[in-house]
Amino acid sequence: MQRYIAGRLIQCLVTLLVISLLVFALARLTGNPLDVMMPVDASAELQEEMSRELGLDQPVYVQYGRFVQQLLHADLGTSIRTRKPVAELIGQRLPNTLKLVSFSVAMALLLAFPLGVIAATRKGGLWDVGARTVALFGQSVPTFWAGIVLISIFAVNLDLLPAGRKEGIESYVLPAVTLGLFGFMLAGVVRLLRGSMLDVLDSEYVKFARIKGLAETAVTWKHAFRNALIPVVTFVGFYFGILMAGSVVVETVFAWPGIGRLAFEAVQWRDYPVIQGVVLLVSTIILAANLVVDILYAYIDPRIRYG
Amino acid sequence: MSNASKGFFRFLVVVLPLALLATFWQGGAATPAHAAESSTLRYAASNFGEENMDPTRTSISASLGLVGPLWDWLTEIDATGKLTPGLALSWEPGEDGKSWTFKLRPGVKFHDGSEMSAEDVQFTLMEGFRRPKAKASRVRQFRKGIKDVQVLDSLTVKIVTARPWPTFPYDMANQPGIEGIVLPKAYIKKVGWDGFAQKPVGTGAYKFVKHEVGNFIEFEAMKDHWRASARFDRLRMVLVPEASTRVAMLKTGQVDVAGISLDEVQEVSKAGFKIAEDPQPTSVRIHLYATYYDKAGPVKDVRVRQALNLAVNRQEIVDTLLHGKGKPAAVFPISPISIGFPADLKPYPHDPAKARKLLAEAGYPNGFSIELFALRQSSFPQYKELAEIVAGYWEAIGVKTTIIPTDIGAFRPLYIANPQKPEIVGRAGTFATTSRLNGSDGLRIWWSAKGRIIKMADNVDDIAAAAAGKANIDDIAAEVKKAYKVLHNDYRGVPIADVKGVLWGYGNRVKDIRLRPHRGYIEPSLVTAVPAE
Amino acid sequence: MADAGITLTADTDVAAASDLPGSLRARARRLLIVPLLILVTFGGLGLLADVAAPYPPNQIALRARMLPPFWQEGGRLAHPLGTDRLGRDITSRIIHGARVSIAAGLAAVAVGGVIGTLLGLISGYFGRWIDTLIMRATDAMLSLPIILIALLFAVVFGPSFRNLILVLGLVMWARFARLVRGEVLTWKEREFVALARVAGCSPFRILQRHIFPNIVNPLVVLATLQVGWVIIVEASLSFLGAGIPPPTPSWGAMIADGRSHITTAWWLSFFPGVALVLVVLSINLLGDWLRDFLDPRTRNLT
Repeated sequence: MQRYIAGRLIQCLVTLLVISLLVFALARLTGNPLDVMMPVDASAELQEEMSRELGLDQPVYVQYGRFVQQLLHADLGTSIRTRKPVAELIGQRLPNTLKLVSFSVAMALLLAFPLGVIAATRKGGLWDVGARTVALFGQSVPTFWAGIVLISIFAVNLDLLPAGRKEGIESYVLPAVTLGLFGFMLAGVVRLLRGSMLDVLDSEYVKFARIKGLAETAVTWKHAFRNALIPVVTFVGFYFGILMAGSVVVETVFAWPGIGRLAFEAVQWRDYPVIQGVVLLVSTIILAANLVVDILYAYIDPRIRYG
Repeated sequence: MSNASKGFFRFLVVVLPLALLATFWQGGAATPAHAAESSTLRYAASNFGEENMDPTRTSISASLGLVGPLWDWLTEIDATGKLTPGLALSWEPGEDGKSWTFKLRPGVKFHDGSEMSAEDVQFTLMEGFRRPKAKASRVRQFRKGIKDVQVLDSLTVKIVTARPWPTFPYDMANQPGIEGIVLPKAYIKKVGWDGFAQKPVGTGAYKFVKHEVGNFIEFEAMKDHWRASARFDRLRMVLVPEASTRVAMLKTGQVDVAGISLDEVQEVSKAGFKIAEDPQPTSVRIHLYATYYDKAGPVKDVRVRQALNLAVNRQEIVDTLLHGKGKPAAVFPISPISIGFPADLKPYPHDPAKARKLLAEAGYPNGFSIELFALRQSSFPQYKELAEIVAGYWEAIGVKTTIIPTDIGAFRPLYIANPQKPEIVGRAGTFATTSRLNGSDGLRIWWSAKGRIIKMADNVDDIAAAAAGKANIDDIAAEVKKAYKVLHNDYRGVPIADVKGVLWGYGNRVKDIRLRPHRGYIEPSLVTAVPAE
Repeated sequence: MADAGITLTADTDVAAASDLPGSLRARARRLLIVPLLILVTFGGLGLLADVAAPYPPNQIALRARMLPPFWQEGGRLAHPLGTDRLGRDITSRIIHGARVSIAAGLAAVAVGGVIGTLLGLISGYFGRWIDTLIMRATDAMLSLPIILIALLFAVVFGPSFRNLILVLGLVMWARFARLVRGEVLTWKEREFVALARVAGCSPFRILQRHIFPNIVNPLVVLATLQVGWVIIVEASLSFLGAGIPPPTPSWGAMIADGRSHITTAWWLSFFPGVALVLVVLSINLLGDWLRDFLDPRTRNLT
């Protein structure tokens, strides 16, 4: 078991190294931050001064070496645009994104549970098709459009909710609904819930229980639903990181000061350290979620050695 | 369920969410002011610029909008282009034209309580904007042009220049840049430049309270400021990148003021909001890159350039895309209140038939292909539509146009490093900037070889150089006019329109908004509120 | 936000297939005709766009901009769904947009699918260091924030239809690689593969003749679902300013361009939005059904 965990950990570190190289190269290929920051009539002399100050005049491999070295000291570097530590910028934003994503997951589950249960208990019928269609509808609408339409209905026309920004608990509703229901989360949970409930509902054991006179609601909730929760929770764990990464669109629409928006602005400014910092952070979270789930499963079922 | 999976289940369902809650919720205690206190002006901006609080290191107008409330300038310019006193009450040129003496306003205090004096002006001009790390727009000009700054007494300062600099008082105004402000010498010496950037201290009507990158900035009004006392006790500027969300927040009353574009004017005013506009128009145009070079392909021929101009229906663009908020332009980038505006030049007519004929004469009876860069600029959100419209006009005379959306980070390396770069030569690109008050600035930046954007006919370079060396403003104006006449007659580029493009919509908590000319950002000390009931 | 294709690695609890297509009630199955009809309609319109569209998609008429649909005041029958911000006929742009958006989806999936399948076959069959190499790259791709990476790639390559296809293919291949490798691992140990190896078949032939045919079904399922994903992601990238460049009428770009007029000129984004939702929903329903039908084992793959 320990060997398995160690192996998986090393895999993750190698993967992170690959990512660091990829994002380092990609960020630099997008251009030079000085081209965005310097005045239109900046002299070559001024450009060179800035370049030297930021260390951009050094060879790329030196810059990469320094980046990795900083990483090993848990230092993400300094933002080129704002001259603030990347860790500080991310620290300000990360809680906002985590809270938004948590709310979104809650919204998605709130709708997914009834839909999944309906789909499973009315398998094959119109209710089943209907529930799955509703879930799939969510992933068929562009998120930004859904967000803007929701704002115009619930904020502007009905005046029920704030239009944007994080200002109090009610301002979570629209962005969380947008991120939770319009995306792949809802459909994913419904599908999982339905599938794993069906496994139980169709099993010999439950058939036998039914014959013995166990009430259908008890079968549904005590056996099928509970059994389905494990894969669902696992899936939510996986998906948490992915939602964080995908929140950039929702953060833009709702002026939500999260890390997606931070990274998007960094791309516009070619602010390498911030791009690198956010991408690495999100990737680490996704990898860590994978790792934890894999290890837990390996713990439960020793036969699994390989994800 | 086996025991193991039961334990697992319990772990996931109970422990994880609790852990999540515990970790993430404590960070949520710090909530920004939710409900607006009646004395806080809340405004939503589309762009915060660089968000570097050190003004000697910002050059982008949006950054100026962000830090603007902290500062006052030595001189100011009103909506008609007239110079008025700011931190300086009066100014006078020396006899040889190579110096300026400024008399400062007495009793001006920095936000830390210390008094502003001539030494601060000396520090600002000699060190602040000339130190190696400075990168504001005029750094090069200051390094070369200012020889010395002498403190005559605590409120009198003499600036000695390398050569005559007749527009110097204009350049010290709240346009076109930040260089006319006065930095707190003692404070910066004490806390260092980094400390200053963390907590800037200025002379403006509002002092710095708090800033979170990409999120918000807060200011607090100075009591007893020399300018008309501010009516809002606090300012809170929030970043809302999406235009429709800004308008929605204005409508729902989440903000009092919102930056809007021409596309939203109708909707916002229909909903009962008022609109404030920048008195200095934005110059909207299409550059034809490096037309001077032989490699430039079809556009090196003046007949082709004329055809590209005649194909465009400027009035139609103004009436539709620009919602009537502007005028067709004959040259760029210069506005009617700028020094040297060539009022006698008329916009090119719309004559597609003649354009086709010119193309045929130039040897392109079947047209040719051109690439049109559509440059994303937050100050002109309609850049893409403009490119599509112009492409439509050009297609109509047989010029096949491919639109390439781009942003400044991708585009600038193409033109800045070397105007002969094959990636850019002979191509076209949209651009929109607010025109500078000093017409020779526009020439220097956008038209001269040293500006490195478009290599021009040599005589324009000479004229621009001549303009810069003139000892009085009328001579500069004459040279600028001359240069623009050459450019106009040679069809060097496709001017589209001068448009009132920097707009703010505001609700009834705000009585009036006046914008500083040129930069189009809100001058907060001039914002007054409707008195509360 | 949009992100499909993450594989649940540990779906052992629920892998048994019980929900075979035969058990679907006929009435529900017959409903599938609706998404199929929608797809055929839009696909046909896209193919015949040059004939079917009343106007050229990029014909600008500024003086006739933002005309409402014909049933509203000020609307004209000549432009049944109204005109956009430059006076272009929305009906025509939606018809041409069908071609652009569906073609983008298919092409990007082809690029990502081919790269991913090849890498997956190699990785799964040859194992050892090459497997390690490809799998670490796959892990890296799968744990990257997709939209941001697509955005970075888009900035690097510059905006064009072709580059966007490449970008989306590049961020997508890992999903195919992961799936294919897993399949190859299970099939590789089968007797008929061992026999073929003993009989002296080359690895290429074994992969081609004996293994690949067995993994076509899950591939088709994944590919179908990814087409919908691509169309959605293209729309998101348009919103972020990195979509298919103008004036090409992609649905995503049309929605993004019309988004600030939802209250003043709702038709600008509404009609292309409806077209996009109908088509993507149909693709997703079809993919969902295909998954049950062709590949019940991966029923829990999301």
